[in-house]
Amino acid sequence: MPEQKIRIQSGDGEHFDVDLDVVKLSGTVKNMLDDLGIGEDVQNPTDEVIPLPMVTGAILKKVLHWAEFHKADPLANRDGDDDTSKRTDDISQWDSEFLKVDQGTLFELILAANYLDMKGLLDVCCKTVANMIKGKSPEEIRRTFNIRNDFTPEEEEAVRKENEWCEDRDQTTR
Amino acid sequence: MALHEAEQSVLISDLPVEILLKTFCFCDLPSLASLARTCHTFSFLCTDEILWRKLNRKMFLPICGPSIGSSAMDRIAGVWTSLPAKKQGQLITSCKNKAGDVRKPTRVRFPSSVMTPAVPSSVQAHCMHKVLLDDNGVWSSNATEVFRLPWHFRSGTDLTVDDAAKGETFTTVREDGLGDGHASAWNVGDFAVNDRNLVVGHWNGSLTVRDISDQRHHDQIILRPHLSDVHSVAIRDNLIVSGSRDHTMSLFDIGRRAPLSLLNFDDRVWTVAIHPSQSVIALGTSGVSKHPMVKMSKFDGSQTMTQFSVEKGNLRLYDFEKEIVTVNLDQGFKQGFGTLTAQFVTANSLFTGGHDGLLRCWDLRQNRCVQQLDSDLDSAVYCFATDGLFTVLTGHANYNYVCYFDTRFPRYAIKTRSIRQNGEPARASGSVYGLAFSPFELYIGLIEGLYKVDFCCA
Repeated sequence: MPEQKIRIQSGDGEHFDVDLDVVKLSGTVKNMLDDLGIGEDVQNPTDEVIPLPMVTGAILKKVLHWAEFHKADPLANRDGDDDTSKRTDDISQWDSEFLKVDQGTLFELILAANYLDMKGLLDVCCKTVANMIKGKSPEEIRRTFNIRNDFTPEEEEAVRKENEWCEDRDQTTR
Repeated sequence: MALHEAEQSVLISDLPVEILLKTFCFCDLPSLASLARTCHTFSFLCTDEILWRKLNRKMFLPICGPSIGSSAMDRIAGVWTSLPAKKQGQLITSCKNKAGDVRKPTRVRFPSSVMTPAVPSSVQAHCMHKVLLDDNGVWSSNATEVFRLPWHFRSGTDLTVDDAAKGETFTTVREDGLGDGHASAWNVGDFAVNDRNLVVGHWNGSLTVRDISDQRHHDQIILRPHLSDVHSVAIRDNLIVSGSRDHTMSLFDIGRRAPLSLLNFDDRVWTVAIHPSQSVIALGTSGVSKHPMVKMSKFDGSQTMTQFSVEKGNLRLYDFEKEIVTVNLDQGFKQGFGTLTAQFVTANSLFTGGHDGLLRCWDLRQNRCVQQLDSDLDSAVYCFATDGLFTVLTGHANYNYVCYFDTRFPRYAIKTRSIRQNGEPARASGSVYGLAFSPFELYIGLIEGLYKVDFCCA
């Protein structure tokens, strides 16, 4: 039996025909489909178009590429408890290749994953950003992310003092 | 054109606050310290209460000395919980930093002379040190013996049972001369004690009952209700209950020295507990059998046998007067997720732990789970200890994890990763088999010995 296709439309008007099981990785789309009663009756495929105005076609294409690869993941990995995994060294090879993109695209993927309610993608993107922060000095972080330093030297020194205890020790967090 | 695109590009400052906090949550503490120094916005976000609660949840304390105890006691006093989460994180970290200076835990292990050559070394390496406290002292067991140490026994880094108990009363229950094939057959699976009797369950399915009110401790009865490993024993007054790998639970009356009944639950019986006053036994099984059939044999002069089917489950209440399974508590359990440990904490509450890594508190008036304590460790709960008020400790299957909970703040746990002897890292296979605490001392039973750490010095 051929997999049922769902047509979705990006914010800039691009159309995508996507397998039902792939598109359902998005909690947002899944809810819309449930509300509309689409996908329940396999005999009567729908010609309804699902609009996703907050995502551009280029980003949606990437998101779908990720979803296609991850559609068979066990459910626990997709929507586990918020606190189950705090590691950043468990990003799979495929995901880290997939996320070798420029910063702007990475942030757009984060916004899209958030809007589409795709926890797995959101997690792996946030971990990637965390890894970009890791081991950097404040100045290096500012340069990496184009952040303007709005501290006076005195203010920055005060914040440094306040957080000094975070810096000196070997941590044993998992 | 390129410039135009760069201006269009999304920046980190365009991300919503909850996403930034989620990302910061994946950062280590030095990274957070750097982030806080980049700009006002990030500085503010880096003090977020929820962020620090999450960060604190993954922190581990070294379990040696005052640090853990002091924070646990502070928490009972309500001081700890009133602190902002970031301050708590700072305190935990400072405990960690000075951990090198504090006293090492006291380990008690068996003198090697007690080990007979007949005991293979593999058995010696797998001693499950259970631990119980009662008015008479600290009870513990290793593979071959059950021993009793006096309260506040001597501290030191590495003691034998004889060292620790020097000059104090000391009871050893040995299975010398019982000669049942391999010496390991008499290894201790579990033990229970009341003011009169010590009951020990062995790997060969037998139980030994010793009258400890008799000073000579020589009066010993051997029962053989099971075919293989006794996983759990319990005693109340004259009733002795035991559960075994062979799927059976046995009830024995030590007053009349007569067996009462033997029930086969079609599933490995991991744990048994007797209600403090009612005729109820809590029974934890492996939860594997899909269509369990209970077979009951009664020994009331003439041996009768009945059988009935029960719902599949891993935690049941059995009424031993009515002789029925009254409740199947955990309706939503996952197939194969066994209940490994159970204790009645009060007449109305039962605590259980098992393969899913959760400690569950059951209200027996409603027969439902009223609280789940999740250590977030993804490691089975082998044992637990509680003061009956707010403090609960769980002992886990891996890395010698011990976890502290204040039941008023169940989402917030303090975790300690093992006792390390000679700086060796804890092994994944290192399990906590026994836990008990007094207001002053915490006892932890591991594979290599019984450990004692100070629980309440500042």
